[in-house]
Amino acid sequence: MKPVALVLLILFGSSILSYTLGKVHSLIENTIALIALLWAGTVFAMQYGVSDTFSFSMAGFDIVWRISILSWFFGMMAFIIGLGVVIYSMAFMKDKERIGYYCFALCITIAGTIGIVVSADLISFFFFWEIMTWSSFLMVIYYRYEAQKAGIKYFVMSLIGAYSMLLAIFLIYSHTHSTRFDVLTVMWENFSSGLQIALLSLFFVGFGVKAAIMPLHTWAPDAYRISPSPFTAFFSGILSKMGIFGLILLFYVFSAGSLAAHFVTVNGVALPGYLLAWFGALTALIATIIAIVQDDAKRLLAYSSVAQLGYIALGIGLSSSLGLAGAMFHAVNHTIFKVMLFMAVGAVIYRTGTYKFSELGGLITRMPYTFFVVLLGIITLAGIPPLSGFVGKWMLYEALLQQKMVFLAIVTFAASTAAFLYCYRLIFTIFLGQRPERFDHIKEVPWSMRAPMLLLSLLTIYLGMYPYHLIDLIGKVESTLFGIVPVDMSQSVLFSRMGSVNTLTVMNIVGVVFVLVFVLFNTLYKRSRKVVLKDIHTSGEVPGPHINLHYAVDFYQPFSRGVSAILKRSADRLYAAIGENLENLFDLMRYIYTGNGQTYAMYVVIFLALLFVFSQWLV
Amino acid sequence: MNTLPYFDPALMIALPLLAAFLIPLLKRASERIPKFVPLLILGFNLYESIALLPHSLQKPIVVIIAAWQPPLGINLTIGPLGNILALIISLVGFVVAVYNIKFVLEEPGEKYYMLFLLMITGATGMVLTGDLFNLFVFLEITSISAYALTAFIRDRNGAEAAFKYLLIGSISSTMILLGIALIYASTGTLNMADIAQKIGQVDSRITLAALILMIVGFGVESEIFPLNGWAPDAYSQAPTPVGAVFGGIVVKAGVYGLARVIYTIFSFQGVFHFILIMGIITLLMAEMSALRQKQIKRMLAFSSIGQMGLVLIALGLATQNAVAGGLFQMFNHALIKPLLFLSAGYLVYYSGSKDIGDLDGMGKIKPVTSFFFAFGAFALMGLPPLNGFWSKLIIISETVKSGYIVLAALALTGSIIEAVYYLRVVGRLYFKSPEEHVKTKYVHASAVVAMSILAGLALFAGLFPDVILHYLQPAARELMDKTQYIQAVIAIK
Repeated sequence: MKPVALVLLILFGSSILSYTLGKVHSLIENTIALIALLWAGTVFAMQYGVSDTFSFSMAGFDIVWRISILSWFFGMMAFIIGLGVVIYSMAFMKDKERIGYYCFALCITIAGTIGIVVSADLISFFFFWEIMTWSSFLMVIYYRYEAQKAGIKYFVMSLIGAYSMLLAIFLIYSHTHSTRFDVLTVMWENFSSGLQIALLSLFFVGFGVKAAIMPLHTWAPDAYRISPSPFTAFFSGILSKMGIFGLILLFYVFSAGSLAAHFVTVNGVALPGYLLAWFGALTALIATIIAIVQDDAKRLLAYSSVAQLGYIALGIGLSSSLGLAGAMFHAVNHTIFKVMLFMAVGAVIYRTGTYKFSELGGLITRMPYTFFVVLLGIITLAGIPPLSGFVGKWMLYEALLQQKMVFLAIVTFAASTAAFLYCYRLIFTIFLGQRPERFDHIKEVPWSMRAPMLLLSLLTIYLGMYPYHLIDLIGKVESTLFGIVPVDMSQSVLFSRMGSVNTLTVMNIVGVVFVLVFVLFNTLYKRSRKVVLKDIHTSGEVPGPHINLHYAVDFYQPFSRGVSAILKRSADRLYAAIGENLENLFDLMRYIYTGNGQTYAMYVVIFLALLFVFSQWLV
Repeated sequence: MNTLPYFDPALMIALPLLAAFLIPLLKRASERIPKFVPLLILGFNLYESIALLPHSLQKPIVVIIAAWQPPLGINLTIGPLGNILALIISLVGFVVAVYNIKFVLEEPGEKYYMLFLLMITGATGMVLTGDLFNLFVFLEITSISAYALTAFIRDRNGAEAAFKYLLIGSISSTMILLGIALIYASTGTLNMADIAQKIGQVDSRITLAALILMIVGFGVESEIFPLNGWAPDAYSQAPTPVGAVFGGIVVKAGVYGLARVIYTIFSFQGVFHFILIMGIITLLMAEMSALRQKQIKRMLAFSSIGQMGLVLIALGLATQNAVAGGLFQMFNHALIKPLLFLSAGYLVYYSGSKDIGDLDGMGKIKPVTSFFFAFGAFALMGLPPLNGFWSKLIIISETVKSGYIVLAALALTGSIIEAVYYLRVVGRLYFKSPEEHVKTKYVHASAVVAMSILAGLALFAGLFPDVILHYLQPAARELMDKTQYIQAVIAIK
């Protein structure tokens, strides 16, 4: 059997097996999922550079599956994160209800994701896209009672995206009589500019919904917030990347982005790409601002996720070698740190049962590992050396400056700087400050939850030291698939026109300084006297109940006031209003069905009369 | 493929008819016999239509009744189309018969089974006959048993719904009869193949009038907007299995009649555009009306109309692939809508109320039934890997290919609305907390078997669409290319 078919068979088979056999014992579900992922992942990983193809015909459409190097790139991300999430879930979901359902939906989602990346034709792409949509919908509604609204919103927006993609697919099909990617690569330039604009906008809606690009992001905060924490990590880390994967396909594999001939170019970038870059940059800025004022850890991370995907979209839109490489690098970074952060927040929820910042605090001594993970996560997120986040952002900024896009660069810088605010809020309000008494005796999470987080932390340190390894792979993707000259890079030195950075040196310096400080601190700390952390700002007075003692209440209040004017307009509320009004309008249709027999008979007669009057139309 | 031995195809009509009238007699022998008679008869029909399939795919089987050669005598013409529809009808009928074993609790039971078999007789007759007047007679048999079944629960609402259905239905049959009369008067024949051959020589004003009359007539049965006012009431007031049969069988027979009329009998080209436009209007109107329905069966009825709209779009496109897609959609709908009706029937039975609002939390109390409902809803929405996905895909593909992009977008909008109202119901089943007073009775095994068959087939058709399409393509060809049909019948002479 072809490896690509085998991979899909293992994954889909395991989901059904784990559901049916899981009835026997709850441990079997996780084990099957784990074995299947490892097995399929190994088979998949061995296909590096092989470009294995499997094709057949279904319902009159050509179906082609292929593990190209781009599929390999995204597929491996899905496998690694999938494995991490399954291991994490083993402890997180233990003794929860409906584990069979959970495992089933998780496995199907991973399988759907792999299906998407190996699709080399539009029909199977759409097929797996829909599978991914409904299976992740099942996950969103896992906590039944509260989830309905978020679930339906997610599903409906996904459907709108998917159907607009479907229209684009069939527009292509009606022009090329083929849905294969390789045909499309050749044929795209023959499309008229009107058709190209239509296709680009339809695909943009389709992929933009999944990638949560503003203004199509409104499902994301609610869906992320409500889905089980391990799955939220997968959601943000991998599912949203499928939108990015789609955009990369659209711009580079379908070569829609490189065909500047039909379009106006701005600073050397074709208009569609330029617009995408602006969408991305504005998404990054606005989502960051919204993230800062959240009082809910998962919502904060959700908006942060939206913002980070904005950067990635920006890089894709730039259509330059550096821009794309930066986007893909940042995509990997985002996957790593967002999964780390969601898992860490999940760990906090697992132990404390709350994700409200204003109810948390001072967990650093109770959950030091989780704190460490969050610390590394936000360093990566903020793009501070020495971790890998720096390299990705560096490449993006440089790509911007290379194209002389000053305004875009300013917006991106602003967003990136503002991100420090929510990073700080995340780590401060959860781990620092005063700990509420009820959390005095909580313990660190079990190892099966700690391990994936820590391994990912190691990965981000490693990529920070040797970004070369990833950039090399990205370069291979760029040169083999898109015919783009890869970024100049040697071992640990990143060259560019503005200068060069030796990431290894940076890492070494930071490593030495950090270790030194850590050792010094520990020796000094040992000698110091430990005191119980108590709030001393009331100077011994007993504060009345009306005084808020917790730092995290009204955190960033001046900032919130400042941006409240912006936040008043919400795309979410706009859509809700549109939906409501449409529904009221549709409700009028019910007056046609009066329930009165005579009226119905009259309709028949009128219809007949009209037909006779306009009978010439039927000829 | 090994061919199974088959019997005289006329038995597919004769046996149910005979059995229907034997039921009252059999009941005297034993109270329990009547409920198994439909099972037996439909099992035979199912076998027969499967056994016939390889033969009818080769070339239409023409069965001559009472030794009168066509075009003089009445004959059955079993092409791939008729055979597949007969298969669908027998299949749905069989499944509903399995479900019926336990569900018909109201007496008098034997009348129910009698009417049920009559309805099957009529529908099977409609799709198999080669004679236009015969088609009308079978339509009448179907309709009249349908009226009676609508009012089977003898309450006010049922009677009212049945009366509306009767009112509209009689207008429709009158029009069909008028249309047939016009055709007979001008061509002198009632054999459909013969009519198709001779219709070209008739004054086009007469044929146009006949066409309009027949479109309106069959339009009522195939639930074209605005001729479908009877449907929501009839679906929701009839006993559950009857609603399933309406959606799975009666509508299919109506659409078959419409397709025969526009494709085989007449050859007007403008009518396809008309059907296309009516299709999209029907689809959108139905989906919009379904959105805020309070009763689950009414919602399902509107959804059924919407699905028929999609079939009409496919028929209106008039390309080989589109028609095959439309038939696939009919096939899928014939599986899914009964599944939804049967599961909804049990849900309604448990909650004791027809309102969607009273179905809260059924997913917890009745996991099996709720699962089947959710499964059906997912299949109907066209989510892969279930069957609805492929038929919708093919129809939308052909719509865009024919250049009707806006129309495709509108049809997809309809699908989104559909997703919203189905998810709301599924959401209620699973998300809300159940109410206290719900009866905790177990689902009867017969219902589980019936629903499993439907769900299993839906999954199979979704995973292997080519198996189904292999049979649907010849059926579509039969509609597209009427010369083959004419040849088969006339060659008998």
